[in-house]
Amino acid sequence: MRVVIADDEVLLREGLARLLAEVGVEVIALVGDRASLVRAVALDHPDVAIVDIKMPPTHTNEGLAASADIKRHDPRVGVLLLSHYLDSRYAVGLLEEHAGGIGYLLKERVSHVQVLVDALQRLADGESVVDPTIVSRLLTRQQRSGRLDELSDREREVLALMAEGQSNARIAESLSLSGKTVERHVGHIFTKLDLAESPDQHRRVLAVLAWLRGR
Amino acid sequence: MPVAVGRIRLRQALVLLTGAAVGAESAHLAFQTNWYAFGGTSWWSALLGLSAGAAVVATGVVELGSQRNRTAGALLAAAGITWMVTVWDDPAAPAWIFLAGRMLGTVWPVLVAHSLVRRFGGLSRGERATLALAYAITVGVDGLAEALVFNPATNGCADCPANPLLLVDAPGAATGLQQAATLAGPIWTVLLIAALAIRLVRSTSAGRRLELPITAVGMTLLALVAAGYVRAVARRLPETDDAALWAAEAGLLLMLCLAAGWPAIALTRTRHRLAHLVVQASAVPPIGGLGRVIGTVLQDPTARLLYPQRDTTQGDMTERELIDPDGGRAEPHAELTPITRGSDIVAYLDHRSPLLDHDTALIAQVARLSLDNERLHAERIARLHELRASRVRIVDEADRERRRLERDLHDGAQQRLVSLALGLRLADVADERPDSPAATVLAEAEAEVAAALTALRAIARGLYPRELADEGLAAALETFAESDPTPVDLELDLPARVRSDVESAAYFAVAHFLATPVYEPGSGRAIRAWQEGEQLYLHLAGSMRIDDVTPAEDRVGALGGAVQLIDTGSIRIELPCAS
Repeated sequence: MRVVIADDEVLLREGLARLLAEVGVEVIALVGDRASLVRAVALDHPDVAIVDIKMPPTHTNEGLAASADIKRHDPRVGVLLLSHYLDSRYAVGLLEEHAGGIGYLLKERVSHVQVLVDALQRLADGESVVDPTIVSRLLTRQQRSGRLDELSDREREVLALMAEGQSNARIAESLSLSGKTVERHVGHIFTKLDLAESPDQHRRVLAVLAWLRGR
Repeated sequence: MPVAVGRIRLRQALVLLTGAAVGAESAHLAFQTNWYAFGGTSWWSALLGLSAGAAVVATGVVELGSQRNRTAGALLAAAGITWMVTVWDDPAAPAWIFLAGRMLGTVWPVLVAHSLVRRFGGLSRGERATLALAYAITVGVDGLAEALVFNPATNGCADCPANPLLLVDAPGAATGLQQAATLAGPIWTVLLIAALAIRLVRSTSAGRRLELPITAVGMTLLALVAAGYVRAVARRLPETDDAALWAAEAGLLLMLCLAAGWPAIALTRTRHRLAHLVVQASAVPPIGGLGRVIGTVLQDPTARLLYPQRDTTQGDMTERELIDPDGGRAEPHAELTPITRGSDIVAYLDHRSPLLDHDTALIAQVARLSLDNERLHAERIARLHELRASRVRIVDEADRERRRLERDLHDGAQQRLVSLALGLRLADVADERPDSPAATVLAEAEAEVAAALTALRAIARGLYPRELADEGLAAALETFAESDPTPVDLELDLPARVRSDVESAAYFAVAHFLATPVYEPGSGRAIRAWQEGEQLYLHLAGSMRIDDVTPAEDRVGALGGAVQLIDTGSIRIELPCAS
């Protein structure tokens, strides 16, 4: 696993690099702005680029623009966007914009090294990653409004993992279920929520998120 | 300065008597010499000249009795008298009469010009100098200086009476002085024409309409005088003897009298109409109505009243700008005439019609109540505008500060905490013994940092939600509904973004009313927001915080909107959102 880290905060990106090195991730470049990020990705062909959304000069959404650059140049490179705040509209926008291999995590997740490595692995495999905070927020809301009443507890768990971008295989692994069982749960969820099932992993995340957001 | 009426009457009588005496002497001399007068030799040319003089004297006397044109009137009467004196340099006249005729025979055009210039205000330095020059030439050189050296006997007039003022018998000097005065004639006349023209150009539009007729006649008259001098120079004569020129001058003097009466007639008409104001203004008209009443009376539909806005915030009463009766700032369209009471300017009349100071004084008197009513109303509204503007500025400033704090939290504190969390994790990884006391402490510290980050994010959101600035009210309300622990039903019809201050006011009002920290099952709420024309509406329903409406009202009210509490479970917010 080879990654590039883009963050203008030197302390943070150095710490992150050391942490990733500890768990065997190869950090091939550390950069602090959009231009050097795009250059580093073009030169080194990493599996994933970890990108802070806010970078110099304006500290607004340079990271977004940079990830669009990267994806345009080489769609196979996964992009993990880090942000200090989360917005489900943002997440849906990102997933709609890119065909896969895009992730959106709260910045403080970087200290949860297992979550981070898992996300990097999934992005390298071309899957999408949505921060669990967003998903649980949306789920709680739908649960309270009664729209999830038809689902069983197990199905709700599966739905949450689907919304986070996990594949059936990973869901099976994290819930300790067989692949067949997960597939059956997924089928039920789609029927009960009246969603059109899609073989495409990425489209599935989008559909589930859109349903959860209630529009 | 007011002059006692008795003294004015006395002066008028004296001037009239002098005029009559001079006229009688002129008529007598003309009759004696077969009507030789004013360049002509017929009884009607003498009559024309004399009646012109008499008319000018009479006009002068009338104006001498008026408040405004007293000095101009006196000068005009003097012009009429000296005009008649021009026929006195007659060989048949007694010595002193003959001398007076020679000395004062050329000053009348200067007096006419002086009267015209003085008529519409004080003298400028240039005008004073020009008049002084003209007087010096006509009375000084051509009159007094020449009189001292002029001996009729040695100057080719054996029939003329002896000169009682003669000091030195110097025929050459007398001729030289006279020629010099004739040569200088065109110069001072043209200078006086220029002075009158400049005065006309510099005058205000309303003033010009009053001054134009009489000034034009006066300028033509001076042009004729200049022509006479040029002619005399060309024909090497001491003075003009052209009967037609004299007759034209006499005619113009008569026209001058008519023109002098014109402003008086116009003003009398205005004053007559103003009298109607007394009747109309006695009933206090609605706000803004007084200006229209005055406009109708003055036959000037553009006339309106403006009021000086007193700056009370500065602690002094300096007047800064003008406001209209509805309290809005106003720029004058035309003439601005102050309406004063005592030494205070209570209002300004913005008008095109001719108007004089005592007319405005009349307005100030008769429309006293209406004026004060309108002025106080205007001042009150203007102050309200000011207050509202300052409220908007305060809210704007508060919002800017909120946004700055929100950014600072994300870019500063939050960033540092994430670095700290990372550092703790690194320390944890470096620690080889996973169950050591240090590892436990580190894990606790990490949990604390995570909690701090969550709390900080909530604070930043509360300060100013990112989506409100970036994407607008609809996005901010959607995220609000999404993040709220209680289900919120949203129905938004906001096709376009509106002004950011309106969006903030709407958002923070909603956030204020829907701030319920505890979730009770079944306690759903609904937000409906829509835009109609230049108005933004919000309708909130469900359990709400209505104990303190003020913060929301302050924001919404600052933008001219309203918060309406329909019942305990329903609130309606209305905001004007024209950009």
